[in-house]
Amino acid sequence: MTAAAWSPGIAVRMARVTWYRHRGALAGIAGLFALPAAVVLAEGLAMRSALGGLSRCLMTDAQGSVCAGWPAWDGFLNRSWYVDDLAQAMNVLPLLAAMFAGVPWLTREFETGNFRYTWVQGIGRREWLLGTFGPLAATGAVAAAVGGLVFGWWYQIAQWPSSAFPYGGWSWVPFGLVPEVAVGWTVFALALALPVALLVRRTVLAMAACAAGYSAVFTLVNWRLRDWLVSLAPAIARGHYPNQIAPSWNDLFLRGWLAGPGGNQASSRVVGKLNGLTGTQADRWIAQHHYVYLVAYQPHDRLQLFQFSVAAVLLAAAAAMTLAACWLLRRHPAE
Amino acid sequence: MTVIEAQRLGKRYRNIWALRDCGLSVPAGHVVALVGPNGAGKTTLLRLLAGLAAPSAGRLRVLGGCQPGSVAAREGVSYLDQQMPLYRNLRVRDLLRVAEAMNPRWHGELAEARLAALGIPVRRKAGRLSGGQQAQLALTLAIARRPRLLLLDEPLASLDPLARQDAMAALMTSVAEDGLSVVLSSHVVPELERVASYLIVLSGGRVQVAATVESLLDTHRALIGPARDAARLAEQVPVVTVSRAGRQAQALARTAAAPSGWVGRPVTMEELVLGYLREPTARALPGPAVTR
Amino acid sequence: MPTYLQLVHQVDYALRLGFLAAGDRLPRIKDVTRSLAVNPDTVMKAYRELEVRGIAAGRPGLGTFIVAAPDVAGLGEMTALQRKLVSWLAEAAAAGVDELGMKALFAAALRDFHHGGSAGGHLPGREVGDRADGAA
Repeated sequence: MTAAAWSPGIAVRMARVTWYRHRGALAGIAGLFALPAAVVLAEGLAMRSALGGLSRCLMTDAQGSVCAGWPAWDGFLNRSWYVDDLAQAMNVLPLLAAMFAGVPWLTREFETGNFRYTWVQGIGRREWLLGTFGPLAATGAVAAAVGGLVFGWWYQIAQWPSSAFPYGGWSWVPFGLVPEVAVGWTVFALALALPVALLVRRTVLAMAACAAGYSAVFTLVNWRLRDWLVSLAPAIARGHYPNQIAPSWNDLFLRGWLAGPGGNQASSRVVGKLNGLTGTQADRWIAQHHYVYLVAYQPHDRLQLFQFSVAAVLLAAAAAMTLAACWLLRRHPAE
Repeated sequence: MTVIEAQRLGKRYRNIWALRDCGLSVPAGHVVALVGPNGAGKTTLLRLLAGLAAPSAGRLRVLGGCQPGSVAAREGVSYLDQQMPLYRNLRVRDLLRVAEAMNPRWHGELAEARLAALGIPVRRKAGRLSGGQQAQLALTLAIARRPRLLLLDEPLASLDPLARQDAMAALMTSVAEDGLSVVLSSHVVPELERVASYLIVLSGGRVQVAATVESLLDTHRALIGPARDAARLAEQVPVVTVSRAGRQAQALARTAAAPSGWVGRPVTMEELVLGYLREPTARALPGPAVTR
Repeated sequence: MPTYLQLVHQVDYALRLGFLAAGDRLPRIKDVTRSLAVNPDTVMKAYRELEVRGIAAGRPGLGTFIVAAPDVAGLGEMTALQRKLVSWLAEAAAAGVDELGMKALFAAALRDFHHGGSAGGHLPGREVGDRADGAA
């Protein structure tokens, strides 16, 4: 007699039941991403038509400086676009999906004891978890991926009139919206809803707890993890004192410093002296004394690597949340 | 087939043993009444049988050797608890569809026929049915997946007498037609004699009684005799309980014939169960189980 | 009173009042189970008791049928028969046969009686007319 603890076939059957019972909530998740995506799509089309032939120029000219000389450019920049607000608002979508679509149906399952109906039908806890979370995560992932792809298309042009993200995708707003990272956030938010709903059975409280947890992780990832990641193995190049910019406009500047002939950093006395000189005088002094101004930066072609790293961390966190939910299910004596 | 087999089964929650040293060997095809005071371990035993909790000690097997909670066991075991679980926001026919999606061996015609016979409207939401109808619906959904063991943790407790009778009738019909084994945790002692064919009495986490109703009724007698002989009775026959009222004494004893000086009559299930419940140290267990 | 005995008495009264007659089929076990919400084992026990009392007989695949109404014979005959039976029981007890053995003897004799007709001495399983040497 086989002692198999669970069967994938039964989990799939549970998933079909979840699709059927919660098709409204799943459609809501899709709609949640589709609506802003539609707005973004509309604005992107408007931008491209306002630029005319300039848009093709912008995509080939990495600097945008040549294209910026065209007269259509000023008209394009002076129009008011919703760019900044839109992109920032879209970062909240994963949390909204989890709070309004994920949490309520889970807390209701536990509150009403509907969850126990699966025992009548011989469905075990692990199969319930997989069969419930599976459709949820799949819908969220697909919706987030599509939203992310639309965002990326829009961002190519939208990055120019925006003041919020001038660095070619490194700032947290566009970083969080590329497909892989958006999927990571969405799957994590939905996975977070599971243990939260299990621990906090009341719907409104659970939604608040989910928001709090997500906000904490959001802050940690965007202002600790990312900063730490991008500080690893930076590229070094010569810069022009005292400009704090990286070689290319869409690289991420980390820091610049003046290095003396021995290789060590220039003292504050030297820096103070250079501050009193004009630009050309300072250049001459630096060359004469064999100093060199170096900048540490992350090249633009590494951006995607970082995006995938953060997405991987988020998916690992989602897996941890799912395991926590599994553990909680087993420990709770009434379940 | 031995539908439930337990050897030295125990379950501990923190430092409290909810079940201790339980031995059971229940053949298939019985309606097992599970009786005992609150906190005696009835729900714990049912949860162990359903595979919702794992034993802390000993060994438990269901359906002739399956481990409870394994896929094979869950296919043949249904567990209905007190709250009569249903998806209450779904219509009855959607519930049937959902149940069909959940079970490969679903017998839809049986379920539909039964619901039609009971007059349960198929288009209504489950939450808007009466308590009795919900119980019948939950039972139908459990039975139509053709389990071989049905575990009921007092799910009929909140029903009015008529609804309870109807639900019991449905249950008994399934037992007759499909050879279903049922474990029914119940407080309603008077109905046990009509409904149960096997009795398990739990007390303080231990098995006090585990035998077929027929053998229990054959091997026990209600005795009446003079109160002055009451003290000596225990030396003559195994006594379960003895009580005195004036010059007369009444006793429940495990014997086929009354000893001299006493008058015996067959005992009812109600008297038997109440007698054992009053005397938690008394035991009526079968002999050593056949080892395989 | 145990439930199965209640069922037996119901059949008994139905016979006495004329609602049931010899040759009628008793309801199927699962129909009784459904209408009375009673364990099927209990119904089976009742039917077995009816068979033991000679009121009913089970035919495999067909059901349980009423064979004879109680008190078919006159009261005087019944008393005489009972007295004969009691003396037989005393004889058996004296020979050391216990209650179970007595029941077995009676059941075997009843079977013989059904198969072999009045001559007696036929082993169960043989039909009337079989020759002792087995030729057709």
